[in-house]
Amino acid sequence: MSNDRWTKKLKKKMEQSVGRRNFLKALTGVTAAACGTTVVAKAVEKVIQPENSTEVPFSFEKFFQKHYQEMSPEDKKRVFQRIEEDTLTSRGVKVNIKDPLPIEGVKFAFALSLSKCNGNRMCVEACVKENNQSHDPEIQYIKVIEMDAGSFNLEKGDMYYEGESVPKPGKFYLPVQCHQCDNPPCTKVCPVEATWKEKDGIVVIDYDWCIGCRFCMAACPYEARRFNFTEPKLPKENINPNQGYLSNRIRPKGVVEKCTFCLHRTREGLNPACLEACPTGARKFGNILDPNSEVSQILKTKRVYILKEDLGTVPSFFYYFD
Amino acid sequence: MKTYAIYWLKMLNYALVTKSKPYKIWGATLLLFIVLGVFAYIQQIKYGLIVTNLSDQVSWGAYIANFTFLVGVAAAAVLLVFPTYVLHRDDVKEVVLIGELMAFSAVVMCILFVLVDLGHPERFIHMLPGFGRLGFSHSVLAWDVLVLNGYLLLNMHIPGYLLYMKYMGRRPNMWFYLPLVFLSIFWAVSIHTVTAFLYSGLGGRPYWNTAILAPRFLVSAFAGGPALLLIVFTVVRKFTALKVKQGVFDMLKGIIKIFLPMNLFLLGCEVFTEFYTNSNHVESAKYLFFGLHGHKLLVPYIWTSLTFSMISIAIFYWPRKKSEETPGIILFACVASILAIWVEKGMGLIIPGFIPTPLGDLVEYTPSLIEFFVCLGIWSFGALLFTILARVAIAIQTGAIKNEV
Amino acid sequence: MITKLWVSIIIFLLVVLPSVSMADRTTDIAGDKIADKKIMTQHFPEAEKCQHCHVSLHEITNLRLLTGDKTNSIPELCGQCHGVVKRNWDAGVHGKQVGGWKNPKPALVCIKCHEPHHPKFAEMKAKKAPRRPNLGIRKDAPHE
Repeated sequence: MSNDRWTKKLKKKMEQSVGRRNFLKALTGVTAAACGTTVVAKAVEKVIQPENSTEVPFSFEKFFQKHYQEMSPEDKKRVFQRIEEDTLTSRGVKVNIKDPLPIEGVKFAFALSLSKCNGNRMCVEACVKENNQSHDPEIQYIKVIEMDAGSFNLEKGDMYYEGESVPKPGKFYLPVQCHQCDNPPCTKVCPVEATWKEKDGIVVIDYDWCIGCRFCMAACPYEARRFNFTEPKLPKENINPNQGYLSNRIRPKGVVEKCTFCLHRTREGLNPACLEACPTGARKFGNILDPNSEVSQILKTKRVYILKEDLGTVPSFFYYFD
Repeated sequence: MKTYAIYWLKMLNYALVTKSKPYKIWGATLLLFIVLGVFAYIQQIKYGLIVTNLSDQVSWGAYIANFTFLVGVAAAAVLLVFPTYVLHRDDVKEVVLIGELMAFSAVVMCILFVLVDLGHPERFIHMLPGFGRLGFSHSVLAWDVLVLNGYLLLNMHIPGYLLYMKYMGRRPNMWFYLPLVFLSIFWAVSIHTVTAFLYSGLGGRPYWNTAILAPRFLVSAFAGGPALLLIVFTVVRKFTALKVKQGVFDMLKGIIKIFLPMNLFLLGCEVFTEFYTNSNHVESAKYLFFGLHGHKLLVPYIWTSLTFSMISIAIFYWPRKKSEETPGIILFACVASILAIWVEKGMGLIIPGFIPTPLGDLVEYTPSLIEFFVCLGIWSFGALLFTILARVAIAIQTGAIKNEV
Repeated sequence: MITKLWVSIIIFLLVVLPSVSMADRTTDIAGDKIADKKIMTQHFPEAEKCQHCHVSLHEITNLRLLTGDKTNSIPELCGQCHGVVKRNWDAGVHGKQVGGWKNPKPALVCIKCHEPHHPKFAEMKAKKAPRRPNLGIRKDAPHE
């Protein structure tokens, strides 16, 4: 049988002397294989990078970059510098990556007056601009849902309404974004701990650690998270250069992103972009631990409603009627 | 060490060198699909997951649907392991290794399906101990990673060890495999339970957030798995030296006769709870069975699946003479039940979970061409892997490959 | 002397009568001419006359409460009818937050955001709706 003959030949070959000659042969073989794989890898990289790609080329430093929570200040400085350089080369824009830390004794909460919101969507636009969201494919953190007055049935809501004049009679408007829950289902399910809740209440994502499994997107009951299906495309002039590592820096493809309460602004005392843009003054933001803040007053005195409260997510976002 | 190397070379030789025409045609076809799959996946690496038909609203699709179905196929190996080692059935003992190798191939396919679904598959190192941070024990996906890899190792070691011992003509040492066999019985149930928990633990998705999901998964695995094994053993009996005993076929038919109707019963329980309550939470089931707001992409599939299930049950229960041959109609029933369960547990479970979205949005999904070719490529890879492994295992078991000293 | 009397009568008829008749022309919109600026109030029907809120037409910042007392405090005036809003404003929870979320924040007086004579906010045009994907994000869903 050919099988036996072949194996006999093989056995003979293997029984030959395994001396220095064979060792050198093996060594050259291994080196050749290593060089060959590098050449192939570089060729493959050329094939798999689309033209005019803003994708950052592979680097071992990026591959072995640590999790944000394990980075030392020097690591962070190096990483931020690298990101700034990469943004300059790939998008031609000079940006400044900051890393504001949570303020002691502060826990952020957002309150939104449903009596005042008239569905003009200026918050959506301002958020897109502030947070460098992709225009194509379109990513918008805030979804404004037009609801029938007298019902909170989200099934009957419409987030694709167009309006020559809002508010439309018989409707009210419910803007939804990440609620930065105190019991977040999204951080519970992340298999690599790429998303976690910070001390000031904001749920953040380390975009360089996220593997893009999208389990958090399946888990979120408020549809707050967005995925970068491809490299984000946004015009150069729309890029906001004041960026935070955990918030509005331009994300790579294949990672999840969401509203971060503009932590690069709010951790420095400013208001989030959506609040600044709201023309009716429906949005309120502040420190829930401060009894004199607006949000604390609202929680004490107004009829506050929490979306999907029965799911036990304990959001930091409160809707109220004035 | 040298003997071990020769053992591998012999197996490789047996796998690649053959005169059998059907084997060559099968292998070539599968290789073609694998190459197509690789090309399709390169497109996905190049442009990102935008080449699929996924969206923020429906963020899991064909890849995860196939993954869910294949975990069930992997768990079904226990239906051969249990009779062999607990009920001491000798006829099943001849084929138990093939079942375990099928489980191994299925788990490899599962891992591949998850890898192609990731936005950054190279960041799997973020899960490894030491450098990575595996979200154990709060993340069910972390549990699934551990459980699936453990099952992979179990189904690599047990057949590997037993086959090597057979090759060497030595009696296997029971301490090296028997405790692991009993472990694998529980482990098989656990892999499918943990996969079900991925879905049933999410409060924001009421279509999935039901206690009956884990039992449904196991029952459908025990209905679809034996059907696949039946087809495999028919092929084995026809094309290889291993003459699978009729008792194995009768046992598998018996298992299908129990679990296929039970699967429909559990589905009926789910349907009753949804439609009788008729709350907001029924919208996903309404979309699947009747369409929602004019969108009815999945309606024909689920009704076909139900019809196939019922036809299969009728065929299996139809009284017939005892024969040594597996009639073609039984094979048709097996294929029909596999397809039925694939729709019900794959696309019919994953997609409606996202429709409508938690905020009432409605976006439909159907796999794109690239997704189709990647899925086909991975299925072909698994099929080819299993074919080679089974062929070699049968050769060792029948003595065609043995150690010549 | 009689000529002077006739001239004054004619002037009176030419000047006063038209202004009086203009005032009678409409019932729900009061009009008055102050320093070449025509201010129509659409605040509420009873405010037919400017003197409802202003003490006199020459010192507009002197405000008149319903009781007849004078005040210079705009919130006090508006708060007579808009009591809930005034209480909110006193607590700091009315209107748009400006300046940042840390206390203390500047509190803007009513007329900084609300035009007192036409206080109703104009209806706005909503910004464009988001893209609705259909079978993947590369394609748009048909408009329903």
